[in-house]
Amino acid sequence: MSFLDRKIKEIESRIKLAQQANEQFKHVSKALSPYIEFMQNELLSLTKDLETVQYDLNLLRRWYPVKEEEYLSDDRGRHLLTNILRELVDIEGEFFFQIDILMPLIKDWIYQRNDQNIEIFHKLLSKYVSELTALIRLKVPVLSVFRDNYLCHSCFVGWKKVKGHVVCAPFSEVSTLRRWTILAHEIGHAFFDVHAKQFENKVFPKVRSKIFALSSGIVKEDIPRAAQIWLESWIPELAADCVATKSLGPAFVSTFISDALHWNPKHVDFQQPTHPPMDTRVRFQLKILGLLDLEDFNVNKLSQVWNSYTRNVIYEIDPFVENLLLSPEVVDTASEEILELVKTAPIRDIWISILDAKDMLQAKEWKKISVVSLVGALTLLPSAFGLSWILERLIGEES
Amino acid sequence: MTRQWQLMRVARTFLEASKIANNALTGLYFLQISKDKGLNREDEVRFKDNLVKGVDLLKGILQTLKAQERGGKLPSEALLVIRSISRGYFTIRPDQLKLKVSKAIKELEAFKDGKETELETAERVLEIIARSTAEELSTASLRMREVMEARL
Repeated sequence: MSFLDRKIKEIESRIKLAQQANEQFKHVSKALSPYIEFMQNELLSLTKDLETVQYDLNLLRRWYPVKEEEYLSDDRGRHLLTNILRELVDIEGEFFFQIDILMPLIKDWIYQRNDQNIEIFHKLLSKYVSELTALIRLKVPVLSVFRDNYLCHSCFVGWKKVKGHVVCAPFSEVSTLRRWTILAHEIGHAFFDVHAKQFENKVFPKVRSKIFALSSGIVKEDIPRAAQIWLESWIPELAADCVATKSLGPAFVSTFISDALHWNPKHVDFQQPTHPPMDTRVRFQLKILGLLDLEDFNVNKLSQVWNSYTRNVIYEIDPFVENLLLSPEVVDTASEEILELVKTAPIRDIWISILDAKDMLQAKEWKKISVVSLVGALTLLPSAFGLSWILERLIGEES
Repeated sequence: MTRQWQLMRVARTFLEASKIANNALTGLYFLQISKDKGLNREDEVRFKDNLVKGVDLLKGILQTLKAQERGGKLPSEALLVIRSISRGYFTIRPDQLKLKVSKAIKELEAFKDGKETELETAERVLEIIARSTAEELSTASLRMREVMEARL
């Protein structure tokens, strides 16, 4: 058997194994159905692709009947062989991105749903995520799992057909409910995926034009890279922040700021500039909060805290970042266009219930409320506020 | 706040582009060789279909290159593919890239219709897309694996 045949057989056996595992996931829970169906279709399509590669390889062999250790004399034949090899690499890549990453998340979901120590928190997390997705009227399924970090995994078919998302919260924060507000940013990524075309039609061209129109204090050759960073990474990140702020308001922003304190406010990772600096993100969130103008909430106080922090930290900024990436015209255009597109602002509808929940918790009273209101209220209470009695109530309610 | 979402998005785009470019090239080579060796009808249809998808990809890229000038729609997948082609051509200027892509489309369409035509530019452009998207894909996979391993 040639090395190529061996490779094809190996991939075939991985697909079969995944199909068997996927079969076992069926009937576990309705919540998993979209993901099981997604993997099933992906595995079928991978099988078909593999059969095509095998077929093309056989065709090539019929046309060029040389032994594996011999050279193909014809250039076209050699090109074909290269392509067939690349097709195999693509199949392996697809398997990795569509199956290898998703399958452990599904396994974790099943484990967490069945483990008596985690089950209640896992159910609570799922409820929280489904309430949040309903608030922003997200029409794709979103599964939630405890993992090592906050992240959003997207299930795509082709370029843009979104089949679902899996959002994760760190396992270490299984019972630190107030930290779950960060998940709103991950759900914001799901929102971006669903509305990607609108962002590309409306936001991308305006931001790109603004960057290309810059002239003072910049190196012209840097412009395309700056545009690429904004369009590929920074617009989606700010859009996710916008969705999160408009969903949870001060609850999200205050948790975000406490996380942002770990970072130099103007820091940009030059190797992988995937996120705008914390200062840009926080200021955008504060701007949204100001526009929301929520009752009994003073955004100026939060702004003052952030300003005093950023003023007291010493940092140097690269001219590429300062003059190009963070040019006020570019940042303002991106912010305005994103705000224009993310119309939904569920916090307006739930803010009063968050404040009511806060009062209720402060009075150590208890009545059944939405998980979103509870999580939101917890972020507004002093950090020393004890959570244990709330957890006891929640566990009592869920079990 | 990990990079997983962005890595996934980028990797998916490069994977799709790589598949389309690879399939188009496979179709192109098989159809060329078949002139001497013969091909059954079913295979011919499949390989021509691969070419059509390749042409569609190039048309999407051309439209995006034009949209960049007049401020029109900028699909992220086309932008990413343009980035990878530019790298493959060692940072070719957008106007030159536009000429090459549009020549490649003409060559492929003529070939698909059975006309005698040069295929040099089409082969080169598709080869660059296939090669550079594969490189970008392996970088994204590596980063993704790092993210996953960091969890252990």
